Amino acid sequence: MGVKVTGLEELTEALQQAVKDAIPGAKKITGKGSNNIKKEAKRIIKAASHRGYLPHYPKSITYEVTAVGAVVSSEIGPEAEKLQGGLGPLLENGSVNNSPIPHLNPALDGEENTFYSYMEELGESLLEGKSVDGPVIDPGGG
Amino acid sequence: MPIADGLDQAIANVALTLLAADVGPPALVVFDGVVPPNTPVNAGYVLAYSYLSRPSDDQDNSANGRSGVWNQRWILHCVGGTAAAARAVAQRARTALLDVQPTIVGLSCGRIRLEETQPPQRDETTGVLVMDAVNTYSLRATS
Repeated sequence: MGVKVTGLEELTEALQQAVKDAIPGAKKITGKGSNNIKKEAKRIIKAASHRGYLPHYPKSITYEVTAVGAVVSSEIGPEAEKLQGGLGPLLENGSVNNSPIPHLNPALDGEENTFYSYMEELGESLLEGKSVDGPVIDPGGG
Repeated sequence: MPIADGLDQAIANVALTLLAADVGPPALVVFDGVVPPNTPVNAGYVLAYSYLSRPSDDQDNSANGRSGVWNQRWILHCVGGTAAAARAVAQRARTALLDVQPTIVGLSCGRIRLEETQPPQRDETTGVLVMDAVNTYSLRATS
């Protein structure tokens, strides 16, 4: 009695390719989620500053995706060196005299579950040898 | 007109009530959203900004599409006349809040978590120097 298994070489190749594509794919997916968070944060803050006193601040919100080893991360928020970018903490947290306009945390909350589904799609795509898409580099740059 | 279920106020009041329960002495002074004019800073105080979000897309939302998740945040400005005083106020807030699992009828609550801390910052916008340490706490609940 015996068992003959075929296709192991193909499976091995497919898995090896999936390993190679995992980090670049994760960066794309993370970029996609980061771009969504950035856009939502901008939408919230624009809606809150209806008197137009924050004309430049939304443009200061950017993101940057990085990978160190097997850890992919993204930093999303206002760049302090851009016009009005330094107002980020004051707007998000308020001060003793100013009420906050939370926009970054709510945007992050809103994307959390969507991001999980993106990661599930990434896993499927890697095993099926399909490519994934997403803006690793911030397309707006702010 | 439907009767409000009171849950928004109930979940926002969790931290405010816990903070106010610190009777000291001296009692921890807690303000909800605004500091009254001419409030002395020497004793220190906590200014709390509360906000609630109900994510429309969450795994814990019910199968029929109804929002079932409550994300409550409290941005606490822990204020004192010096950095040490601000830290002391922040410490009292942390003792009152961190890891507490509140009970609210109608909600299943997790524990209060400390989400973000910042070092005391100078704030002279009132004309008097105060030191302000911002700590953000969060609570997730489901209905």
